[in-house]
Amino acid sequence: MEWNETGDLVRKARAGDPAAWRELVDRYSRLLCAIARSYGLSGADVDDVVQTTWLRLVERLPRLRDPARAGAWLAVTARRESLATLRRRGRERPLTGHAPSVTGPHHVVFGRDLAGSVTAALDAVPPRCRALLELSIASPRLSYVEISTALGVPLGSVGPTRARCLTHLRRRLGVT
Amino acid sequence: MNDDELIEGLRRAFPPVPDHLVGLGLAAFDWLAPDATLATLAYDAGETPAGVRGGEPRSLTFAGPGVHVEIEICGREIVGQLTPPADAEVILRSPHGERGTRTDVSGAFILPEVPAGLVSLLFRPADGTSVVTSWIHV
Repeated sequence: MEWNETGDLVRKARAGDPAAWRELVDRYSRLLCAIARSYGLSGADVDDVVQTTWLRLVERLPRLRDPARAGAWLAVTARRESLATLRRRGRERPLTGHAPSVTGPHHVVFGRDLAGSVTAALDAVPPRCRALLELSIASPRLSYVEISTALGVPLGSVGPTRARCLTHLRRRLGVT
Repeated sequence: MNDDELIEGLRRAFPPVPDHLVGLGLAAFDWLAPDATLATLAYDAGETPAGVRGGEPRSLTFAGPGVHVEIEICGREIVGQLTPPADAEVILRSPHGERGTRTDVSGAFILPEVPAGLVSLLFRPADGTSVVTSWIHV
């Protein structure tokens, strides 16, 4: 498929092009899911955040000021909707930092079982670290601006935080 | 294990985005109203659903260029006022579908049996313009 910049996709979608909209949905669904989960949401709450965020983009589509930054706009909106969902559920709590804890048993890995072991190790890292790792392997690739906006971390700390999360993941996996 | 191997493991560890979530994103496009004036939420008396607050009405105000929509949600009923007053078709939009009524000459309207969840209102006055409100949770 021909690579389209986000700005082009937004301009085509606002003119009513469903193929362009589909490409936006393919590009950013993982971002929205990962953000909702990073707030500790699951199941129907994740569905609600994702659905509301897309509806808000549709309502703003005709007037969106900077189409090229639609990914960051989606990220900000998904964060706001995640907090709104927590508020509606009456169980908002302060967000913990994203420094992973390293308590609990370590997993010893032999190549073949890598994917399964990584899955298990991911369950043990904090939601925000998990979200950062998920976003950093998204395809098509998300920009550092989109990732930093999604997680509310400064642009310059995305790389270092990602390296730290990978280190913690290695420790969980019992490899160095 | 090097970074590439670990990244490859990560790629396989994260499952694909569930189809139903992609479906919610695709379906949102059906609600595109490119010619409508958007009235955004300017005031919300309480984000808690009315049912949880013991039946007390929840008032909300939407504002857009040259237009104002005030509504009160009481139980499953929405009572509202379009300003400036216009004789208009009122369409209640929700992911479950659409339902319509009309304002009276003073711009007032009532929508009974509003489904729980996301809703938005679309107004079509006789002059051919249209106004749409932001999506809210009710």
